[in-house]
Amino acid sequence: MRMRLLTTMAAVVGLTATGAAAADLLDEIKDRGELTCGTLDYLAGVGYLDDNGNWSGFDVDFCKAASAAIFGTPDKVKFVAVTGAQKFPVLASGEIDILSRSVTATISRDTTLGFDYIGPNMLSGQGLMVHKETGATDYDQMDGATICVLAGTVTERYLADYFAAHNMSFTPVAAENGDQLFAMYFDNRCDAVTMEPPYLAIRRNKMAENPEDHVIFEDVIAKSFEAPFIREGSPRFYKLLQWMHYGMVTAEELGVTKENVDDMVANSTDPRVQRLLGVDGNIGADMGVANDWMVNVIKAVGNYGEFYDNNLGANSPLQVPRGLNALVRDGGAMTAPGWQ
Amino acid sequence: MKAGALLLGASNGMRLTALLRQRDVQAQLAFVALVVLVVWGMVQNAASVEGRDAVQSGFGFLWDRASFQLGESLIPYGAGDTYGRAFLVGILNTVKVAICGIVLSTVLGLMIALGQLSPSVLTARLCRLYIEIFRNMPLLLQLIFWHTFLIRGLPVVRQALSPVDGVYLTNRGLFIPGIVGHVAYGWMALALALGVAAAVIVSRIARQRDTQISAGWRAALVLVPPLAVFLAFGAPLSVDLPHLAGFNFKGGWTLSPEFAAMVIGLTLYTAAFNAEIIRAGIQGIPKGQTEAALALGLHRRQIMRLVIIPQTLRIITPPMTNSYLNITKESSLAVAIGYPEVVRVANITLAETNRSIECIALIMIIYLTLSLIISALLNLANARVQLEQR
Repeated sequence: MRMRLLTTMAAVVGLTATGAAAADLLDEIKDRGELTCGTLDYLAGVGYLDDNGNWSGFDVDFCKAASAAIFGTPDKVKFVAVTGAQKFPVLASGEIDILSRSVTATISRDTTLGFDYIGPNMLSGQGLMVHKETGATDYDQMDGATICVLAGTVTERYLADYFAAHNMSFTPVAAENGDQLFAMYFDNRCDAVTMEPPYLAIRRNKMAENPEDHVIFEDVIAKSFEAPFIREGSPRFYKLLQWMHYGMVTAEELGVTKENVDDMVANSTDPRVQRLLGVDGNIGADMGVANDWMVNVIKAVGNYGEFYDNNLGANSPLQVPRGLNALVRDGGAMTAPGWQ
Repeated sequence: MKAGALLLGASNGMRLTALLRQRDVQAQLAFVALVVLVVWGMVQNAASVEGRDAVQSGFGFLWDRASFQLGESLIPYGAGDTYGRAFLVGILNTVKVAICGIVLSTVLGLMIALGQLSPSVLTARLCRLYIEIFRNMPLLLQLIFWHTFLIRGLPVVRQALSPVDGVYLTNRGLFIPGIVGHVAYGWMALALALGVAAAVIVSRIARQRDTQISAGWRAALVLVPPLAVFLAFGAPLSVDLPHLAGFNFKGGWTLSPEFAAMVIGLTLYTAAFNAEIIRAGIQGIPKGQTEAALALGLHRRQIMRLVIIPQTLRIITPPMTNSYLNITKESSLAVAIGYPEVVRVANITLAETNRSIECIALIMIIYLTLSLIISALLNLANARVQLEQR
């Protein structure tokens, strides 16, 4: 009787206290046979869940690529929609493995909050869209404005920092999600709305009655690294994802595409391509995945250029220009360390 | 000899061992031990998760500088103030909505309850319809409806509705002339409090001597001190008219659509419940009371005021306490429409600092404290209206 009570107590304690001994998340995911990925479910081109239950978009494809790298196929991912305010608690608690939701990398998020970011896989900034009738064309004319912000995002902070630094004031109106945010802006609850310029452009084209009635400022008030996040403490998982990103950029530089990747594996004599695709060397196997892991990644989502263009850029309805996200040789800033 | 007996003396020790032999005592001890173990396990778990990610914990962050703005505030607040102050702004905004909701939903609830009992069939049916509509739709939906309704339905700033000069109704809020603050007003409030206290004391003394103070004298006792202070300061009164400056109206007082949506939504929803509570309270008074009052020659209105309502209070105070607690807690739904109450402050603080356990614990402590204060006040009121048993 007493023994049974003691074992029950021990079991309860065992249940509530998770094991402190940390194995690398990569092994845990392989054992589980599935990757969990927190993303958006409402923004087409970025993270979107359609009527048939299919997930698509830039942030979704990153997780599909990670699945391809680990398991060889892009479909071993369980997607979870996370809100702006809940994204870090959900990641910290271990409910998701990767937070791929256009999260802005900052020093506090990287160091004191205990997360690691991958990439950055999108270089951006924080912009402002205003109603044209206000006549405002630049940030210094925005003193006293009412500005719609997405609750719990870094945009709230950057905006407050910018206005404080320039001795101006503003009234924020907070929205819980992107749809509500832009609905309030287009209903004229706010003079302006703040977000990364590509998303402002997407919403202007999709939701405005007359897109030309809204001005997106040329400048940005803050540069930003948009990146997927993982919990700190799994170096092998971190390096795999980081080099997957670099691999996609390298593939674009070397001209390896979704179309020609099989052909490249069979026929390419370029040693750089052979190393990237695992024809030569043991890089993949040493990292704990299949040696041809980059082949699987490229087959799943393409090289970085295809990955961007198919979701956001030239091959998508959104037509967001590559800008800073073009390769360095094309005048952008996207580059990668050597694959030796 | 057992340790307990050594400490407590032989007879006490015997009593303790006898007590410990009882089965229900054993069960309770086991239960307490289990609760302690579970709580300990949770704390250990939380500590190990946070430790693993090298995340700091504790409430020290409340003194760090917060880098965000809040839409409206009763006290001066701006980016650069502490997280603690931001929480205070949130608490005050929660209290503001709760108080408005409690007062308005009680008044409206009383009107609907009386309407239901009215001899006019049309009035009674309309009041019934109101109750069935508003209490059967989720509050969150109603809040979002009112918020959208106000933002979509009201004109934009440049086409503001202005019934009289200085009053502007727009989808950014209602702008009305405000009185410019002055040190005299603080002293006037103090004088008013002293006046009320004096009036209460004087009436009590009068009652002990079996006399009464007339209403005029009581009003004078309450109103003269603040008026005297006002005049002593040289009657400082300047009105700040809202005017269009740049993007928005500046100056005066502003009622934001978020706040208005919260108050309208909470009031209409809770009034439906309050009406039912009050109706039940009124119908709970035996018919004989009304008949006896009629026999005494009282009017319908007098019967309500002097006989029915005082007895109704006895019945309705406990369920009304519940209703008031619900309003306070349901004000947390404001986060869905961006009203900067305490949950919104906690959410943004959480996003900035990642102190999830601390922030959620703070929200729980704040709501618990507010609820206990309301309960305590209404328990006092309840004790006063209860029948004195002799």
